[in-house]
Amino acid sequence: MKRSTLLLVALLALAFLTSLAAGKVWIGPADWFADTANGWIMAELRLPRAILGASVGAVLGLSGAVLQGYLRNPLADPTVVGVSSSAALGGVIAILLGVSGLAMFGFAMAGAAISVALLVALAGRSGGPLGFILAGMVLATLSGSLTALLISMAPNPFATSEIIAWMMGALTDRTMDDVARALPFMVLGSVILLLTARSLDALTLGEDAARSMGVEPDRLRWQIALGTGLAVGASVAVTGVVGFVGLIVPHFIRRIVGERPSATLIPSAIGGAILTLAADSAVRLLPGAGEVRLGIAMAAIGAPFFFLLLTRIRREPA
Amino acid sequence: MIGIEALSVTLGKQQVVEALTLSLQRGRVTAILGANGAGKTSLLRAIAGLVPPSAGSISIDDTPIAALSLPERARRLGYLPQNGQPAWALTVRELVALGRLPHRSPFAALSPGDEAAIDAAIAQTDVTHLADRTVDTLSGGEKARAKFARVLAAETDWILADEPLANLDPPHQQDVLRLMRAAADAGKGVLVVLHQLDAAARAADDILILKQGRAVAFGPCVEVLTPATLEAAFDMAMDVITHQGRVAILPR
Repeated sequence: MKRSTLLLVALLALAFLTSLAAGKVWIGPADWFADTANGWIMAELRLPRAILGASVGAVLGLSGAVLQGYLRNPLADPTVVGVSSSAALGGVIAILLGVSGLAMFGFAMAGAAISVALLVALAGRSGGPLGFILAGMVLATLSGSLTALLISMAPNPFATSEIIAWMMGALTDRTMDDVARALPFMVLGSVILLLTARSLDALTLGEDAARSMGVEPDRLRWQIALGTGLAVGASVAVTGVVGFVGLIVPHFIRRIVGERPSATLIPSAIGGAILTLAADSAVRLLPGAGEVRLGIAMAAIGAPFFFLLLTRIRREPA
Repeated sequence: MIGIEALSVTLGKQQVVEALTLSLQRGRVTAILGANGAGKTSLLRAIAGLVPPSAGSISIDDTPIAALSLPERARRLGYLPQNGQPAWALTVRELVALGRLPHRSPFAALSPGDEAAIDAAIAQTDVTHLADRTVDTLSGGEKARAKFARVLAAETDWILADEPLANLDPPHQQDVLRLMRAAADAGKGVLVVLHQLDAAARAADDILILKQGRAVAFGPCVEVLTPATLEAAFDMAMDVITHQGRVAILPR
């Protein structure tokens, strides 16, 4: 393993352990397996939260790296192609129907599945990456406006606030049931996304060159839509929409491991997990009665960082 | 051998290649000439399997290319597109290694054979000293050689190059022409779209001249590069001058 990967793995371990220990109550390793209140917090609250934080961050970082490679555009991320907002729409419908738990998860996944089908169909037979991103933006806009429509039609203020709170993305009060539901989809989706690595490298030289090197564009589009749908759909289904991770992380990773798309995939997954765990630990440590929503915290951290990154990229000669 | 039989290619409603029949031999450099819009790039893309023929067929060693899977095709035909600027700042070595993709199974690391092919391609194109530089830091001439190395590393029987001399100064044009000559001398078939008539005269064994998708002339350089065929192809009078065994073409 390369030194940079080892460093990322070490940081991930640190972020994971911090996420377990940090919170309104600090829990030291001695209490983790104890039969006390703290032991219960650890097993029932902190552990599922840390596992979800790491896995949600990982799929967001990975799918961001895959989409940026596929679209050959450093501004792509899962929210751009409409999967996140479609899954969120499914979740909102579930809240309005008053269902939760497994049923809500099913609604969000159904939203993601519909977006995958539409993405592949709208992107067309010869669309290529350009058709893909246009279809994705149409989907994102459509599901965003449907969500807004549903919010405006919510029967009471409680439903409205529940929807808005859920959509902002959070890892609060998640259970092992959530982990058990989401993890298989995330793993399957990630494996499908990792299988695109070689094709993404070939696409560096353009669509014609990639095809001449044996990349089948239709199959690649399917793989990316399906992989993103499964992995990101499942993450939205359990945490709501957490933005910026998929956008920012691959930029940092490229500076460490170079720009070859296949080389950025696994480090971006690890980097996404680190960033999400760190941000989720931070929101718990901020003073105050409640908690800042993870999605909001991520945007607050992400936007300035990204701005900094852009100004640095600008200054380099083209 | 690449055999082209009554080939027609349509883009939208436009017929860009029309009823073309010819055969190409390995070990030779064949230049495709013609005015803008004559169908040069479309012909090359059809042979590379990137656009389906609307009629006719293309075969490689008597196997129709339509019957080959994409990876099989990729192992026999190397395609160098026009203006293919890499989207990401790969190192030269990473760029050249892309040529090995059709030979590798998923997730397998580069085999010793892959490494050898990459090293050889890097050495042949004289980019050894640039191997760890990223492509965005290279000059136009260096980039052209690195991209050529990618096609060489694929170890294909054929190289199809679309205007590889575009935006290069004369010495760097000469470098790329020399690489194509060397590839042909090593037994590959080289098919190249060119706009520089003088360069075609220097570097090509055979020349195909297209006009509105049809062949105006096809054959050995000296037979094809005559004032009469050139005027027919470009609608412009040109003189063909021989100076110390080399040919220069001057528009009148």
